[in-house]
Order: sequence, then structure tokens, then C-alpha cells
Amino acid sequence: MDRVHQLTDTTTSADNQDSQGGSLPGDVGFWTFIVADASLFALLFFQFSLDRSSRPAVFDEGRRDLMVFFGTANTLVLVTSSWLMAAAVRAMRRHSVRTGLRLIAGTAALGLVFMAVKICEYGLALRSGHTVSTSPFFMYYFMITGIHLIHLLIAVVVVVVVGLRLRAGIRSPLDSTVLECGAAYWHLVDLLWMFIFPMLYLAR
Amino acid sequence: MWAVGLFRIMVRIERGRILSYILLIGGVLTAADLMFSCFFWLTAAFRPEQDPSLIQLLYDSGWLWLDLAFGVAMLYMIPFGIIALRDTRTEPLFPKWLAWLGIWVAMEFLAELIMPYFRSGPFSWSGLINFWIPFVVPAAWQVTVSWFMLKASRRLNEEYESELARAEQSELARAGQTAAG
Repeated sequence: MDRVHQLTDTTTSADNQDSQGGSLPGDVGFWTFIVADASLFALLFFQFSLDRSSRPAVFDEGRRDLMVFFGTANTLVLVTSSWLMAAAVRAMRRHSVRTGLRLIAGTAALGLVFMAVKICEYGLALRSGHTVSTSPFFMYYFMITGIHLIHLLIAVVVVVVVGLRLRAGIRSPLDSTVLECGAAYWHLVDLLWMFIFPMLYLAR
Repeated sequence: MWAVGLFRIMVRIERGRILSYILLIGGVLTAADLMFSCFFWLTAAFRPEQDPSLIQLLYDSGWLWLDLAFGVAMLYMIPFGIIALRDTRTEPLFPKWLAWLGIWVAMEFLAELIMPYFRSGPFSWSGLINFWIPFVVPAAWQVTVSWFMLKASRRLNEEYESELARAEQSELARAGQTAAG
């Protein structure tokens, strides 16, 4: 609930900045992007569930080969990063740039940790002989987590670029709008993982 | 033709015009992409009595070409989004959500690039991610953009006429001043 509240906060403030005259605002319109992206994943999850119910044994066998430890660790990492991101936006709104910068750096670092863990996990899966084409479960596993990882990569790049600009002393309304849109996007990436983790690692 | 129409409107919004030219090229290439795929499929259908594996080869070529080269549509969808977002009019010619939707669709086209690795499932060319979404959503997007294009061209005409009228008035006023002086 708190997060939802936060997100709505973000939009309204981005909106205000828009009316103050940014040149490329990430305003309410950006939410179309988020809704479209979330719908794509929802459809993908739906398709996964359909295929899973038609061949439960194959999917269950695949699931047992995943290490829940990695998934759990990454869940914690991503939730923490989301929290730091929200705190960073709040700090920037209070104009405490230093705290904001530190929080942004923390967010980006946790994003990188998530990626590193995921890459280790991929390495182990590949070593034990699972690839995209070995079973439908691993097709979904690699594709869904891969697309999610690309999303996270984009989010990290956005956050790092805004952070570097802030450190160089550049503070335009566009930057804060991009930061707030980046935060919303970051939360989306986190939210998607909240569905992916139980779906792939836990559901029996 | 559609790309030229969109180009003419976008040029009026954008100052630098670079993105508008990229948009124009992207539109032309996308049309060419569709043409090539149809050409492959037509070749397959031209001699139906020939070796079935050759027909399959052409059929596959058509689909691979269509899906992989369709990414050039990014070249007009992303510039469209950026130009539309940068529109400084109090009521922009294109709504911002439409701009963002175009950018999202363009990003979704990246998923087309993984299509050759799958022959079935949601990522194959007949699947959810590489058929249903990248063809249905952009089609809906394009129709909506067209509708706003019609509205935008009407508004641009009005803007142009009111500018003309203003110019004429100031001309008249200046003429009046010199006559009085």
C-alpha cells in the first residue's frame, strides 16, 4: 500500500514539474509505458501458467533444479534497492543532494548485485546442462528472467546517468522528472520480480 | 505515404528536424520490409508444384525477414515519441501517452531479435511475444496516430492561417503608421 502511495506521489510531482516547463517531461504519459510493460508480463505469466498446467511434471522437474537460495537473496536485494530508490526520491525532494546521491549510488549498486547473482545462477544452470531449448520450463526460466534482467539493466543505466549529472552539479527540472520516472520504473522491475520469483522458484 | 504525412507534421513541431528525417527514413524502410516478405511468400506460391522443402525455405525466409527487419520501425516510433514529448504547445498535437506507447512498442520489437531461436512457444513467430503483441499493438497504435494526425493537420492549418492573419494585420498597421507619418 505504501508503495502504491509513493508511486502516485511521484506522478503528481512529475506533473507539477511538467507544468513548470520541462522540455522532455516524463509525466503521467510515462505511466502508459509502465502499464503496457506490466501487461506484456501479465500475458507472459498467463501463457506460462497455461503451459505449466498442460505439463505439470516437466515444469516441476525444472523447478526442482533451481536454487531457491539465489532467488530469495535476489528478492531481498531488489526489495532493499526499491526502498533506497524511494528514499532517494524523497531526499531529492527535500533538496538534500548529498543524501540523495548516496542513496542513488546504493540503489544502482544493489541493481548490479542482483545482476551478478543472476549471472552466477545462469552459469550454474548452463553447467548442469540446462539451456533455453532443453525443456519448456527452462525456456521460460531463461526468457522471463532474461527479459527482466534487461529491464533492470535499463533501470540501472537511467539511475546512474541521473546520478552522474547530479554529481556534476546539473539540476534541471528534466533531471528530476527523469529521476522520478526512473524510480517508478525501478519499482515496476521490483514488482515484476515479486511475481517471477514465486512463479518460477516456489510454485509446486 | 503515411510516413511522409507524419514527417510533414513532425517537422512543424521539431526545431532541429534531425529526428523528423530519421522518422521519414524509418517509415520508408518499414514499408520496404513488408514488401520484401510478401515477395518471398509470393515466390513460394508461384510454383506450388515444386519441392515442398523449397516452399518451406521461402516461407521461413519471409517470416524471418519480416520479424527481424521489422525492428527498423523503431526508427520512426522512437523519434515520433521524442518529438511529440518535446512539443511545447499548451495542448500538444499528440498526447504524451501515445508517444510513450510508441516508445514501448519500439522497445518490444527488440524481442523479435530472439525469434530465430524458437520454432514454437510464445517467442516463436506464431507466439504471443513475437506475433500477437508486436502486430496487434502497433496496428492499434498506428490507427490512433493517424486519427491524431488528421486532427493535428487541421490545427496546424488553423495556426498557419491565424499567423497569416496576424502578419497581414501588422503589415496593415505599419502601412497605416507610415501613411499617418
